[in-house]
Amino acid sequence: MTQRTRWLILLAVLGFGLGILRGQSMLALLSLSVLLWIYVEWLLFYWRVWRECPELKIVRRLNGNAGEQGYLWSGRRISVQVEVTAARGTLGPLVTFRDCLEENLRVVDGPSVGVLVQRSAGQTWNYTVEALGAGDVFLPGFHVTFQDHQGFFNAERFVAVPQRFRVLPQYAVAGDIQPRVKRMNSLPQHGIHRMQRAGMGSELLELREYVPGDPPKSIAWKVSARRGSLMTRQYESEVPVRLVLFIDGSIGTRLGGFGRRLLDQMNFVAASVTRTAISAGDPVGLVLFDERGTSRIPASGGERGFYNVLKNLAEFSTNPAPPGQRLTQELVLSAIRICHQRYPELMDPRINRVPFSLFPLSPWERRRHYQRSLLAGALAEIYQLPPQQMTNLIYDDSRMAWYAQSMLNEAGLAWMSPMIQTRNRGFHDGMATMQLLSKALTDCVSVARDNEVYVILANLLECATNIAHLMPAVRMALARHHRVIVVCPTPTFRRPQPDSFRQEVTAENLLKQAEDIRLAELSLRLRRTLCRAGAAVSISGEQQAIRMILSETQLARTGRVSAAGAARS
Amino acid sequence: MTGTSAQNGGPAAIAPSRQAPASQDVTFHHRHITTATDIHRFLYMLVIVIGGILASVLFAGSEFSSSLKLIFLALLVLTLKRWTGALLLAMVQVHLFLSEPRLTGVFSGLTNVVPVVLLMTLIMAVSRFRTLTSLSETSIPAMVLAILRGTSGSAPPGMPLANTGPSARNTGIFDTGIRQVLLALLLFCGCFLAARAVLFLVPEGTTLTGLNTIAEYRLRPGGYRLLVLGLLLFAGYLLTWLLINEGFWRRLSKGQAGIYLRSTMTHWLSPDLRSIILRRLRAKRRKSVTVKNVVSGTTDDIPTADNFS
Repeated sequence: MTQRTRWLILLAVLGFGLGILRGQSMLALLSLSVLLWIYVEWLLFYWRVWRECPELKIVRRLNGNAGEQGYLWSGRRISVQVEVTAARGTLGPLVTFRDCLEENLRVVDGPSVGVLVQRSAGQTWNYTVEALGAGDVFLPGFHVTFQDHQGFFNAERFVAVPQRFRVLPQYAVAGDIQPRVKRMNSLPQHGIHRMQRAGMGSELLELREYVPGDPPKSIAWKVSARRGSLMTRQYESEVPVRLVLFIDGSIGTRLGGFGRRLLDQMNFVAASVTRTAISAGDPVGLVLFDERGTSRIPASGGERGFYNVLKNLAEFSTNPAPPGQRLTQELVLSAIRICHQRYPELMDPRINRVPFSLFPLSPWERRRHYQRSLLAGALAEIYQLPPQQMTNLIYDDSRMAWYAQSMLNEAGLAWMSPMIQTRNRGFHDGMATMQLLSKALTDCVSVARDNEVYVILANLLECATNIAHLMPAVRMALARHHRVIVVCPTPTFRRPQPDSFRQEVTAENLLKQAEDIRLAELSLRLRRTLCRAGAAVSISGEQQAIRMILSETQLARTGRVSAAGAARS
Repeated sequence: MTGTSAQNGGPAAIAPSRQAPASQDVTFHHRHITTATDIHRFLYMLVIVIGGILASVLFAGSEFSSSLKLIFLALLVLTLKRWTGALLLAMVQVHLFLSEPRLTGVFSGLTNVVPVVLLMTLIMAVSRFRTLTSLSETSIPAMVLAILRGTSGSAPPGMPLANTGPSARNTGIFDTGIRQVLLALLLFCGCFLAARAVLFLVPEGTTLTGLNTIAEYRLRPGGYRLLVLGLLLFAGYLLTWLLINEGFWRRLSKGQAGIYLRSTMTHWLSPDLRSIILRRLRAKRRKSVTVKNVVSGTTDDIPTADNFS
């Protein structure tokens, strides 16, 4: 029953009573007619809901796929078609179907809400969405609202139409690009590259004196005749260039809206580089590290290898359980909103009963207590908690915060306020990442073969002052003749404007400038330290980083130390 | 973020890899839904205008007839922004309360059907209009223009005259709307007749036939009538409510049954569980304060479980 109905009933009952008492038949007739009208509408409405709700059949197709699982691409448009039919009979007005979309899907065209305005056998509508970032997308179903014509009564239901999609990261296709390094004139065999160390290749590396045991066919007779002593030809080694991508999935890289996280930038760079490397025949491997640990995906090539990398990136990009936060009223309200959307039947006060309590006394606190109790009931049912745990949720802030956060995370909300407070992330967070990365790099180098390129995509700016913890691993990798490239994405990094002092002096602008200056200093320090050791650095998550990685990989392929006349960073 | 060269102004060498854009067939169905909503809104707006003009005769013969009519029409115009059904009903009830003669003792019959049905039709049209407005994204002037263009009979430019698809569909939707209004009018007439029948069960009069209510029940006839009718109506409502409630409980889902059981048990044990949990939380807080003090090395009074008040 809506507010409209309550007002009409109140007025009608008053009018009826006064009309009967005073003998005013018209007043009594009018009021009683209105009461009977509402009564009939009530009966018709419940009859309709009971009859039509079980007969509802909804089918959702994403890019023509109505299955429960599938793959999508981030950054690309996805057409969604929703078909609503009744298994038996027809569907009457007014029914609203709202598709429960995650935050990772943004509606670009058409409505995600369908409205049935007149009785019909069914309805179809289409809309277009775009996946913003890689990961997992779960579409649980539709929030259905039955209303009568007048808006006197409404009933909310949830119709489950579960579909889960893995969203693969977007990548850029590099065209004819050799940005800073001159190409070799000879066409090497696909996937095989020169390496200026002794081996069994076909290119001559050097001539040396004959040592007993050298194969006779490697003796250079003409040179031997000129010198008067036996000389042996030493050939270059021909090895594939293995690319190993270290992806940082710590908390700091997952904060922010989908498509704007540092992890999304890193995914884009990693996917683009993988595409180019595999096209050139170089295998690509992954090392994914975050607070949960490290996982290593061995290098592989070909289309299968490429999609294997993308799938692992997408799986890694799915947000794990969020770190614990303090309970706030905004968190509770967000959780209640999600419950109303996805579990409307559980929020019915007739079945989700809130026990009476004298305290708190103030109306606002009582309302908060009531909302929290409703939410505790719904969470207890969703997570199958016993009754004492349900009461615990009402009074224990930390426990309620944990469950509310879990529910919001499962509903696909991004790691932003109110789910996670982004301020005061803590110096120690960066230190843990540094230690994980250092260990992962060391382990990788210990099992590495020749001529590997290590691309570290990590948020190192926050712990740039303690980059020394990572240096031993970097130096070890460089000492083993591998290449190390560090890419540090920073979406908030803005180069200080030359006329920045002319900007309006507000607190926000001053804070922005201070942040810019701090980041510029940190990036400078980081760059200096790493370049001094011999690693290449890019403070960017876009084309600059991709170009630099491709250049370094090309250098590795040609067996050169550096591009002639070009700086390493 | 997407990092495409087009968006970030980078070189064209790195071109984004995208699928071909989705087909643009959205919009037939989207427009169709929007059109149906807007046509119904337009229809109910017409009903409000016509009904408002006719219903203003309710105030004829009154001392402040023109002022009352103006206020009534103003309330109808306010419908464009807010739901005014309750205000309309209240205004007519107050007018009847003040102007209708009392205890006429005359059987009024069915002559009151027209004003009653008219007012109920107005409330219905106002409610439906507001409900559809909340579901539609089109503003009212745009809606009116679109409807007038759509139902003008002229084909859109470039379309062959034989193609009557959109116009025929709009007319069909309009017909459906009119049918709904007519059905509603029938319902109102039925409600009026039922109300008349209910009032006839306990007829009015200073002395009811064979019954002196003052002597028997110490109640005036009006009070007695109100009580009896009220009990009768309440009994009818209660019976229906019991049936509907029974149906509701029998259709509970597994999740709803679970939450009901859990919340009922919590309801019964609430005071005990609350005191246990609050005590545990207090003990935990005391423990964490004690640990903090020990870690920070303070030698001040450290609250313990014994001396904590």
